[in-house]
Amino acid sequence: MHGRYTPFFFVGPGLLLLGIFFAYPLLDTLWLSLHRYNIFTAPVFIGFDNFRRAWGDELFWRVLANTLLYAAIVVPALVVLSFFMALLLDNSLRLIKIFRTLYYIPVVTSIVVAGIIWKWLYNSDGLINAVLKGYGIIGPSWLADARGVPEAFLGLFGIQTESVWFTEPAIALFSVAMVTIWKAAPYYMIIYLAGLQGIPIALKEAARIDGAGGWQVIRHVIIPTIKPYTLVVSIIATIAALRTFGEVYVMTGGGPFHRTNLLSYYIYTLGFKYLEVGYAAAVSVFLLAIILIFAIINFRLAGGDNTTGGA
Amino acid sequence: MRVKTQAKIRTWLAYGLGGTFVFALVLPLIWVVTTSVRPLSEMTQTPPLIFPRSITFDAYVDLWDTGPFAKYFINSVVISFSTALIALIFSICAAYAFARFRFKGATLLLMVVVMSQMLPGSSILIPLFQVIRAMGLLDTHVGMVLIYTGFAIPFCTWLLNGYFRAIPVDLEQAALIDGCNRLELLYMIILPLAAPAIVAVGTFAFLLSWNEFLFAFVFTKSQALTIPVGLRAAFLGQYVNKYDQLFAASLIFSLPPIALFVGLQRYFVQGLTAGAVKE
Repeated sequence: MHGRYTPFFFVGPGLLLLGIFFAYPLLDTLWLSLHRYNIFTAPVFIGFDNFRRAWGDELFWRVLANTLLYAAIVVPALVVLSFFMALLLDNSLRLIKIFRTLYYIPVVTSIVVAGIIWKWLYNSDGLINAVLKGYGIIGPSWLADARGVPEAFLGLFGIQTESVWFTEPAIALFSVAMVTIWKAAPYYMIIYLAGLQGIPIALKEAARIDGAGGWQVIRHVIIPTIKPYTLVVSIIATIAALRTFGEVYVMTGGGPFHRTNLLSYYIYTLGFKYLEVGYAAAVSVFLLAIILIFAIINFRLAGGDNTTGGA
Repeated sequence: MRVKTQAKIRTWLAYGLGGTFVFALVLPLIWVVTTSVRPLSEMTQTPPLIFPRSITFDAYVDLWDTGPFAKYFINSVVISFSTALIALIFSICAAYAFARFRFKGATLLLMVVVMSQMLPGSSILIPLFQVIRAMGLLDTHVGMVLIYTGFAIPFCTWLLNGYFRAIPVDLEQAALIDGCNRLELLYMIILPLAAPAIVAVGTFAFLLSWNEFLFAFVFTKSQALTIPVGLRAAFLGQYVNKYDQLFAASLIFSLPPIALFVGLQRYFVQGLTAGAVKE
């Protein structure tokens, strides 16, 4: 039905931009990961030395651990929170429709603005600590406290502990994660909401007639039915968590003592502050590999393998 | 009767919990609003009051008249609108091709499209910097628009593709027989039917460039500097004690996305979710 080159005419312009601003830089990153390069002198081929260096780089392992820890906080919290928010909003009460709009506001707010606000709220004499003070609790300096959350929590009850098991996550990392959750939860809520609205009312009614209570309907009807959405939400959230940059850049700069330093931010500092471009590229390749695994899973789940069709 | 009471309880429960969530989510933003109209005399109070005792709009006037905010604002508007427009044109064409033509490599291409959405910006920053510099596009509007368009296209194409696919092919075949060419067909049949997705995609591309920080921070200096970068610099530097102006700027900056979302919500949600999950 169409000329041989017609499709390329349609895809061409977009592909050109994608090639120049995405594919080429990406390939260049792969290439640079095998070189020593500081921008000013020509790259020198050094094989896999950059990767070997990462293996022995204590900071790299610290940052990797932070990133995984951060994902482990953010992803389950987002799945649970956004699911229950969607459940709450899955009805047609008038006020609820207004709520739905209000909920989404954090998502469209820039991370710079979010970071500025939260940094202010988190300040040691900010609003959060002012409220806590009302309850007789002296809040920490949220974004600058390297103590572990469990450690600090036990400390509230006068329990001192030396165990390494209580030192993670740092209060600062936890505080950064809270901002991510605040900002992203409504986004995933929308995906869940679409899922919930796709569940036939008859199914819920049938369960109810069989004597199932509200919670039982949720547990035995809604949660199993909505599983594909839960998978997609958790994978998108994981990928987003792995590439987090803005929160760290705006609020903590990776501190205190690298406890909020995440891979994406580490790569940035390596490349732009220390001009270790080759090493930064090697760490990028590592991060890309992790993300790629999740991306492929996501791709499968989203049904992207069914790509040819039509006229 | 019992059923009625239960329904009532459920309604109030939904309102109560829903309201609590709204409060938690929106409180930080209320804070921005009240601080931007707070007189300087109330600024350093501890503990801070949520609502100021008196209101002043000095911060907004000063912000607009003095300092570079007006310029940043115009830059952001120009860059974001151009990105939305160009990304729309390119991705409509690409998505149509993916949805309707069989050609070799389609699967691979679509996979690239999805992957590119996952890429962390910091990992390609330096090669991208060198590309932009080589093209002589550092600190230019054109440079930023091209980058943002490149990054918006994958997701836009992906979303539109899902939507186009759901449109029956029969319609187009009839039009082809009537002698339409592919572009006419796209314009007259597909676009009107896919309006919600197109609005969603346009909004997405606009928001992407409006809110983007990292690339703008690294690739612009003064001429093409956008609001997020200006805000961040202001946060550290010249406005360090002028929280009222900083928050006034933050508010002005946050309004267009919020307005877009509130106004186009129906399309946005419909378009966003259509592409996201396919069961």
